Amino acid sequence: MTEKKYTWNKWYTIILVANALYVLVFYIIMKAFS
Amino acid sequence: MNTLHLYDWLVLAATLLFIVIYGAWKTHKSKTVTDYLKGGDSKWWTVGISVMATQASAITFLSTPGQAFHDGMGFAQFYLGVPVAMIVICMVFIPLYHKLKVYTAYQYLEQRFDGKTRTLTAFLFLVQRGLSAGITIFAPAIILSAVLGWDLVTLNIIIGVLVIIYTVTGGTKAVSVTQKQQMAVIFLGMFTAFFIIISYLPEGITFTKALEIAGASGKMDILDFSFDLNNRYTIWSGLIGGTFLSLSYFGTDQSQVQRYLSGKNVRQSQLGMIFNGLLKVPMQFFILLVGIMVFVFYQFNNAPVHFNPTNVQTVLSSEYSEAFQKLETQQNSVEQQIQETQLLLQTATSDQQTASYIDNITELQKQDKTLRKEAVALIEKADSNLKTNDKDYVFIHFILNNLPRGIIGLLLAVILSAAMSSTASELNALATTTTIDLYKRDKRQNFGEKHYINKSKWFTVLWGVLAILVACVADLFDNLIQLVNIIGSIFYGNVLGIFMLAFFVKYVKSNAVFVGAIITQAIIFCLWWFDVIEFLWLNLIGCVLVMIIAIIIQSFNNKKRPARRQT
Repeated sequence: MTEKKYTWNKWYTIILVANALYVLVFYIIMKAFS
Repeated sequence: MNTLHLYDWLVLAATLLFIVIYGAWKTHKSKTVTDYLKGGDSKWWTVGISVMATQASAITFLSTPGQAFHDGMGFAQFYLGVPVAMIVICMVFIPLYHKLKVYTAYQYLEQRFDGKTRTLTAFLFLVQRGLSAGITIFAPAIILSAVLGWDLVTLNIIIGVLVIIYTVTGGTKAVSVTQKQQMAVIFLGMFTAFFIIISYLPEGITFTKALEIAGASGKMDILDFSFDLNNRYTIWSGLIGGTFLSLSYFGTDQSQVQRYLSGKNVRQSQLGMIFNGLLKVPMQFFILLVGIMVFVFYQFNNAPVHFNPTNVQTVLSSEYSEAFQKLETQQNSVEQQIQETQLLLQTATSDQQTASYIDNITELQKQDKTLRKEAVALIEKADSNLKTNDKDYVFIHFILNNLPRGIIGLLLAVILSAAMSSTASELNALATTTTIDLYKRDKRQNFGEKHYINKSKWFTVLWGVLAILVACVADLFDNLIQLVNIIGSIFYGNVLGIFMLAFFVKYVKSNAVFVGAIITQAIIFCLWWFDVIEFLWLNLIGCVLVMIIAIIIQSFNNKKRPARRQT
């Protein structure tokens, strides 16, 4: 049986979504106040 | 010169003493090498807080608000690479380090390549982290020199010695334990400062209005989508350069690796890093926002023509005193007009009126900027040896001159806690790397745990003294936080490339990596020296370059070998 080398878990998806949301929030703030 | 009130001294002393005494009491039983160098069995929140506290130094809390005050929120983009890097760290680095039960990241390289590659990377780490530790001590010394009017060099020595004592007696476990208290103080202090600044704004200037004022002055341009390699902070340099810088920093810098190796198991270490990945961007955004609020505050209150009190004192006691005072009067009048126009802007009834007021403010701000430049020119004339950059003095000037008694002490505790937490981690990591990767490896025989703990303590003292020396000669060029990042970028890419080769390119062997790394470091140093490209990109270039050169050298080596066998 071979060991699975790198495993993805839900937390990595959450981090990526959160980071995309940060960019979106920054964009909205920038557009609203610039 | 400011003097601290008794309440501030009490808050400052009580906060710092509590943290140090609590840390020492909680960890006084850590007698084994595992406890002292690895830190024992930490839970995920301890790992996460420790990682954040290590990265957030006094420089973060001094420079970042000043950066926002002068250049706006664009610096937030620099941290967008952190969450991406955390995923790679969790998937690749943490499982491997835990599996191999290493004390330092560089131990792994000996198993994968050879002793000289391990020594080279440990050496690169020691050089760059040793320099950074000096800057970390230098930053709080500036604050106290502004508060007490003491000599900077003397202060570097006093602060450095205090940190050395704390780190030597505490060890890694004490570093992790105290960082929890330090982060609590940091967040309490920064939130308090934020709400106090908002409460100081004139009636009718809400938080939203404050953001509009900052936006009208171009401070809210958070994202820059232009693909300009010479523009320091763009979304691309943040996402690509920032990811590589974070990967190198969190994956290969012992001051961070040591933090997550203290996790009880792989899961706890990974969750700690995920915690960091989720909170880092909002935390930096918030610190920048504090700087923006300071900017808005000074739209309604007088700011000095120059924020560094030492420079002002020097010019006032020189032949340029009269000229400087004249500038101060002119600037006062300009600021008065800004304040009046800002208040009129809030009462504008038509778009035309609003546009006219904004134009007026922009013009007045230009005049204000010119007067500040003229002030800098006078300071340079008064003493050409003075460092005229006052960015790092903006926030501390605000704290000392505007916050209530007691809160000033709390904010100073924030800055000193941050300084202590990062310096402790740095000295701890420098000592561990010297003990494990150089000293212990050299002495093949086993002297027993107590011997290595004692050596580690002595190395902590040695690195502490070196850091103090660096702090004493540190030049304030451009901005402190950038200086640390520049030093990191020169070395990090190369080291990351070596680790990437170790993890993913099994085909490459030790000699190819070693030669590739040395060539890469020379090229990177030239690129930085001749200012060819913005420093953030050096991470990416260093990483890619070492991988390409090592692969090419390995290919040549492989071709040569069969040819020799035939002859």
